[in-house]
Formats: sequence, structure tokens, C-alpha cells
Amino acid sequence: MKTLYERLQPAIHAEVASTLFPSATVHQRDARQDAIDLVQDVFVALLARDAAVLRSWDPERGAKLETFVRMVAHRYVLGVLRTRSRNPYELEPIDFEQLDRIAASEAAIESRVDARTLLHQLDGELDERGRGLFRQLFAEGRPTAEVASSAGMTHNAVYAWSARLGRKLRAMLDVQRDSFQANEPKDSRDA
Amino acid sequence: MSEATHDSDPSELEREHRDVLALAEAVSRAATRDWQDVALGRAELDEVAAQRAEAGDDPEALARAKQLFRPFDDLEDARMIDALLGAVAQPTAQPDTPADPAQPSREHAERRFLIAVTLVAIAAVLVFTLVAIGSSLRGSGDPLEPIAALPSYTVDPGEGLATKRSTPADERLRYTAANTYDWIVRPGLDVAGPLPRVFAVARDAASHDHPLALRFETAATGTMRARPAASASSGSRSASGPSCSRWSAASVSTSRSRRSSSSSRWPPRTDRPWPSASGIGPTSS
Repeated sequence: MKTLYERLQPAIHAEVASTLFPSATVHQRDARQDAIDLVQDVFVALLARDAAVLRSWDPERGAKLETFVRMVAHRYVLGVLRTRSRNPYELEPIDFEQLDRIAASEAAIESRVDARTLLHQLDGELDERGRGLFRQLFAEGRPTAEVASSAGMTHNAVYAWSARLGRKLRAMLDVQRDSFQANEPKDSRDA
Repeated sequence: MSEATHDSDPSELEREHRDVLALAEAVSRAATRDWQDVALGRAELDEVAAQRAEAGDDPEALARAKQLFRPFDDLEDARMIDALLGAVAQPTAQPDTPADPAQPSREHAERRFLIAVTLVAIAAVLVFTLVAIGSSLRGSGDPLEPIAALPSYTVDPGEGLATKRSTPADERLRYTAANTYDWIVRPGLDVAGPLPRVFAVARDAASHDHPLALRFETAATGTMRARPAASASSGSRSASGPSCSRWSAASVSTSRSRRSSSSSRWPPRTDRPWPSASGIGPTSS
């Protein structure tokens, strides 16, 4: 247990804290206590029922164990933030395809990318409705059907909005990358 | 951006949507990469905090990030492992997933038996009630403080707890013979001025009360760590409680006093929560 804990705790803690951070800033709760509770919950979720969730990780799929547990942690914390209810024994099924997508996206975002600025710029591009959609879909992880219903939109309209957002996000990433390249010394580019 | 109808294949739209979800999640995560490095042990808390302060982050957000991402200390780690061992060993504690009584697994039954034996034989069961006494100690020379001036206090059972951390409805603290109590009495607000004195009483099965000899260390925030007094901190289980097999219903009372000169300060090593303040807090006695 100690070995497993020592390996996974930092990743789970980082994910829990990262997912909690926006809402913790807003709600001014004792964030440390929340984080510790949730880290424990995530471990319980992983280890419950003879570690069924943890054992569902398949190294052959490509995602590292830490990436996998971070996804579990992210989903769990989002669920708690949405429902205000903690129950690590009722974890939503792991979407392994989505896990692969996230791992690929993370790998594609270089460390030099200034994600804070990018999100700030994106926020500036969105109108009030767009911010609401972004918050519900991406920050709160709400199901598309629920978001579509609350926004009075069709499924496809939400998908279309999401697609445009994705194009915008990728374009912003490209601008940052171009900027990095332009600022790199010529020697390092040649190398 | 405003939404518009789209003529593409719905499955293609959904696939693209899921790609964007993944990208947004990755970007959002990257936005706190420096803080996460603190939790991951790759960066120093103070260095990242200084960088973010220089970058113009809001001071409150900065303080919150420091709270959230600060790596677990040894005590927090030890408590977490202890709690996880308890949780794994007690599958029946799983909420909303009651075991099927008709077909208990042999492994679970054995675990339960072992736990029951442990608890019956050597458990120390405590029920805490924080009692705020709204008067100063006689002869202390301190001014009287109104009871309302005491913030609510919570009692963190600390390490050594034998069972999974308490649920909100369960205020009992269970100890094994190997444990000794190590409580953290934490004010709801930082207490900069006079600190309460804390007294604790254990009650045995015959309803006899036994005062517990405590020693304290006090943090600058007013959080107190209570452990068995030095003369009773080693040796048998009775060192941390009355000399009887079971004891319960201890009360922890707080009364106003100046910060004692004999109280040693200790770094507040944890903000470990007591899961519920239910039944714990200033009450009149």
C-alpha cells in the first residue's frame, strides 16, 4: 500500500488540486481540507472492490498509470463539484478512448505553451453564452445532452459550437508556437 | 462565437467534440502546470509562489493555490495510508453498496471477524464534545471572555486511529492497543489572542469519568496538538486512557486562558479535516 501510495499520491494530489483550484478560488472554502478528502476518495475509488478500477488500467493501451489515475481523479472531482456528493464507490465508468485523446492532447502541448494566456485569450473571444457553454462542458464536465438542454440547443448545435471552439483553440496554439519559433535564435532552429 | 446548425455527419461531429473536450482538458491542466509541479515534488512551493506573485496573480488565488498544491507532509501521508488501509479492510463501510447478507464472502467475513475482535478486545472508543466554558480560569488574571468570542473548534483524531476516518454521522474514535491518541484541536478561525485551555475526560463502561493527562503544543494559528502527558505517553494502552478495557464518551472542554508560557509551538503539520463538526463545537455545559 505504501509503495502504491507513494507512486500515485503526487499525481492524484496534483490532479485533485488542479481540478479544484478554479472552484476553490470562487467559493473560498478550506481548499486544503477538500483536497485531502478528495485525494483519499480517489484512492478509495481506485482500490474499492479489489482494486477493480485500478486493475482496469491497461498499459498496452499506451496511457501511463499516472495519466490513468489522473483521469479518474479529474472525473471524480468534477462529479463531486457538480453533485456536491462524495461517493468514491460509484465512480463513472472509465472512458478509455477519451483517456487516449487526453493523453495525446497533453503530449501535443509543449511545456513552453503559455496555457494561462491561451485560456485568457479564449475567454475574451467568447460571448456570455459561449462562456457558459465552455464552463459547463469543459470546466464542469457536464454531459453534452445536459448542456444542450439547459442552453436550449440541439445536440448538433453544441457539437458545432464545440468544433468552432476547437479550431479557435488550435489556431491560438499555432500562433503561440509561431511566436516561439520567431523568437528562437536562428542557430537553435538550424540545429 | 455563436452556435449554428451543422450539416456534417453526427458521428463525425461527436468525434470532433470529444477531441475538443480532450484538448480543452489538456490546456486547462497545462494552465496550472507550475503549481502541479509543486504537488509532484518537481518544484518548490515558495519559488512557484514567488513567480506567480511576480506575474501578478491575485493574492487570494495565490494563497489558495499554496494551500491546494503544497505537498503532503509526513503526517498527512501517514494518516492517509492508515485511513486507506482501514477503508480497504472494511468493505462493508462502502456507502450505497450494502453487502448481500445472504452470500457474504469468506474473505470479507474473516476480515470483519478480525476487526470485531480487535475492537472488542482493545478498542478505545471516544465521543468528543467540545464544551466552551465562557469564563477564564480563576486566578489567571486574564480578562473574562464572552463565550461568543470562542470560535468553534474541531477535533481531528490524528494518527493512530484504527478505523477508517469517521463518517459525518459517526463521532466515535476507535483505537487499538498499538495506538495512542494524538488529537489536533483546531479553531474555525485563526486565534491570535488568548487560547483556550483544553481538558479531556474519558468515561469507562461503568460510566466513571477519568481525566486524561494531556500535553499540548500550540501553533501560531491557535491550532493545538494534544497528546498524552509525558508521564503517560509510553508503555501500555492504559497510558493513553483509563486502566480499563474500554472507555468512551470523553469530553474535550475548552476554557479561556492566555497562551500558556509552557506551551511549546509546533509547526502546523497538517490541516487534516475532521470530516464533520457534527456534535463538536462550542456548547454550554
